[in-house]
Amino acid sequence: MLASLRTSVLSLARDKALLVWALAFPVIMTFIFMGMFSGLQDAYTTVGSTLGVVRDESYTAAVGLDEMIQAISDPMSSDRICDVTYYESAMAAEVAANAGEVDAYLTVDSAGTPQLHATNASVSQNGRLPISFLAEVLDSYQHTRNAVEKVAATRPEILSTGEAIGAFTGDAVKTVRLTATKNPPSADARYYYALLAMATGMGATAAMESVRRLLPTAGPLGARQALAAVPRWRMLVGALLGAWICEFACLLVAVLFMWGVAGVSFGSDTPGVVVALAASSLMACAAGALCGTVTRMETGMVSGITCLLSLFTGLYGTSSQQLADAIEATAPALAHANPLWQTTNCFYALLYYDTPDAFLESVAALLVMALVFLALASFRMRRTSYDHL
Amino acid sequence: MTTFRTYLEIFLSHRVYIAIYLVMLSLVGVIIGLSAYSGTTGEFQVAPANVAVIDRDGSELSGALTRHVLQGNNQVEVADEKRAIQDAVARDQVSYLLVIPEGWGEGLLDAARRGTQAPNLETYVSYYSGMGRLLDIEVTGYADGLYGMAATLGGSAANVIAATDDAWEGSTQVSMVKQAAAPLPTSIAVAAEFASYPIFSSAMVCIAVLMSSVGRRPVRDRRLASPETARARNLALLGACVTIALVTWAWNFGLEVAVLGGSALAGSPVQLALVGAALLVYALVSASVGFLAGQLGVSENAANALANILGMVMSFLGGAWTGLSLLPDELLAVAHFTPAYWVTLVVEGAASMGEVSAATVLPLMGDLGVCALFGVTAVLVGLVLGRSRSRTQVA
Repeated sequence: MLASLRTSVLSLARDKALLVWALAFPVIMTFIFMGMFSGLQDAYTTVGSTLGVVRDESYTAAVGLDEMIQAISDPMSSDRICDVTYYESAMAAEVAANAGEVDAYLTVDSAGTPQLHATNASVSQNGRLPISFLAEVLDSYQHTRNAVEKVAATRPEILSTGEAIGAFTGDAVKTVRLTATKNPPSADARYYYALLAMATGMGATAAMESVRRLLPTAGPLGARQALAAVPRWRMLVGALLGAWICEFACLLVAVLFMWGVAGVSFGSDTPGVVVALAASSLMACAAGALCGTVTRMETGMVSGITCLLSLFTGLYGTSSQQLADAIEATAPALAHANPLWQTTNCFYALLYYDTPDAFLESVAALLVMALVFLALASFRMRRTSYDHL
Repeated sequence: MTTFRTYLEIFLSHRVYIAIYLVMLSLVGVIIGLSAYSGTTGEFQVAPANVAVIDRDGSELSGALTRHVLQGNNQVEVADEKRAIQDAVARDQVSYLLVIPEGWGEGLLDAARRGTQAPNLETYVSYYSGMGRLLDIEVTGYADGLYGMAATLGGSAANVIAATDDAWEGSTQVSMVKQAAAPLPTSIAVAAEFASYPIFSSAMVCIAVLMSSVGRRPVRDRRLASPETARARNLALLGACVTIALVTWAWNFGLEVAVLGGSALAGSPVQLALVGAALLVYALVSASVGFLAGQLGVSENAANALANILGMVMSFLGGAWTGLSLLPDELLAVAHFTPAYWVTLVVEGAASMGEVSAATVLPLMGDLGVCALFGVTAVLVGLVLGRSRSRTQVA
């Protein structure tokens, strides 16, 4: 058994395929993610846009509108949501909008009602959020004005002191932002966890290669091994253990790299992270062993399947995350059957929950999957060995 | 020609690769496109958020605030338990969770009478903090309205709510600026940008598998011993690669047009053609990279790894998955050296084209040209390497 283990570890270290998938791949992608997310965190918080304002008579006549526009475009203020360019006529603003100089422009009709005109280009490039912000700010301007007008109509005497307006615009109600989770939700943790899950899945190729070498069909070496006076299960367990140790070690280094260099948060439970990695790599090795018993299976297929499963962990950008969320909301059982989802969920649970139950559930699911894969693999292994002897 | 046909037969016999990389991954692209928002034509609607309200107060005022927040947004039910709140926020099921504390309504009326600060509202925001800020404006705006009405007009809670709701009637009209050209649906742009990954990985994997089976020792020896010239041999291989690229492109782009592009075909054919051309060029570039890898004698395993890693790196760097506007400047500088960047540039440019004219189309054609140069370089290097390698092997 030790001899099989040693052969397995040695051949995997010489083959380099495992090193590429379980170590080099996450490290390379981590570098890319680091670069990308330096802008991502910022992009979620900034909702800025460029706004054109048609400065005609109606605009200047609208009470308080210009003050508000200046307040939201003041570069010094934390409330800044847009940069403003002024135009003399609606025509000039429309030309500028079509030329892509501004994302939207503002006109005011004779009744003093502001109207926003957004360009398709800005909506398709930056999403609806920046324009929604402008609309929301204009809404609150208009609503407050309605309210003051209403007060003026019913009780004109209290308007003269200025207190009435102050009551509406004094920010009397505030919101406080609380955190429910153990660590604040982060947009990039999701990418890193999905990346780790993919690396884990790709590591299945290592176990697949190790097991395949033991098959009698694998050539002269395999045939000799099949005839050896060692029980087959020992060879199998040895080979699998070897693959598992290798994959686990590679992933551990990858996680250390993510944590140390990229500063990815894994929560405070270090033993938990190690357990999650061990369970995930065991599951991947078991899956690889099962694939190894299927003669027509090639390593490319394993990576193809992993690519596909990774989609449902949300690795491929925002749209794939929305798709994954939608599937999880409508068919949770389907999402949970994805072994890679369970891997990401382990890390999630460690990062966000202060109770261990979600984490333990995912680890248990991974172990059950590993057992099922192993049982199937050993069943198939017996058959192939007797068939060929 | 015989060689070329044999190559294609080898390609077709690897059905599982075709099924996983070509068929399934590109289907995913189309599904993502389908789920993308596609209503930019006509009128603009404010982005709806997933919102949950936990009303611990249960007063008339808190009820009015809840109604107002949920209006126009998607309501998500979240139980008032710590675990449920954690789940909702960490998994981004809700973008904004508002907790109205007990006694808030009463406290607000009191504060308005005395002119002091009203009790705070509590919020939980998931990581899309931009959306959280947007809803903050909406919530505090309305709550300030309630406060203002209570401070000025006074009266019972019902009176205050009625007066506020009256003033909060109506919202700013947002119309889309009329542009000369009908815009491309967002769904097709999203699908096309995602397609960069399936196109690259499927073309490269298929070609790598083909090259590795052709490059097996006995097969290679027989090929090299034949009277075929190096040029004819390499050209046949290149021809097979180009055919694989064309198949990849036709399947991906054809699927997108068939499922998502019905309206675009009639409304904005030029933009659609640009997107198609961009994907075609990218497929050819992918094939040439696969050809280069094959000429370098990369093993099947390594080529497979290379296809996936390179494909992902390029799609990320090219901004195909997150949009070019989100890439920081330093990375954007690096991205110029990947073909995917130029493709995304063309797709984004076509999707947001204000009018179809030489001035808007030609720069995009130029970008396509830059992208094509990557492919030409890879092919030339591959041809030269293939020639010198086969010479040394024969000698």
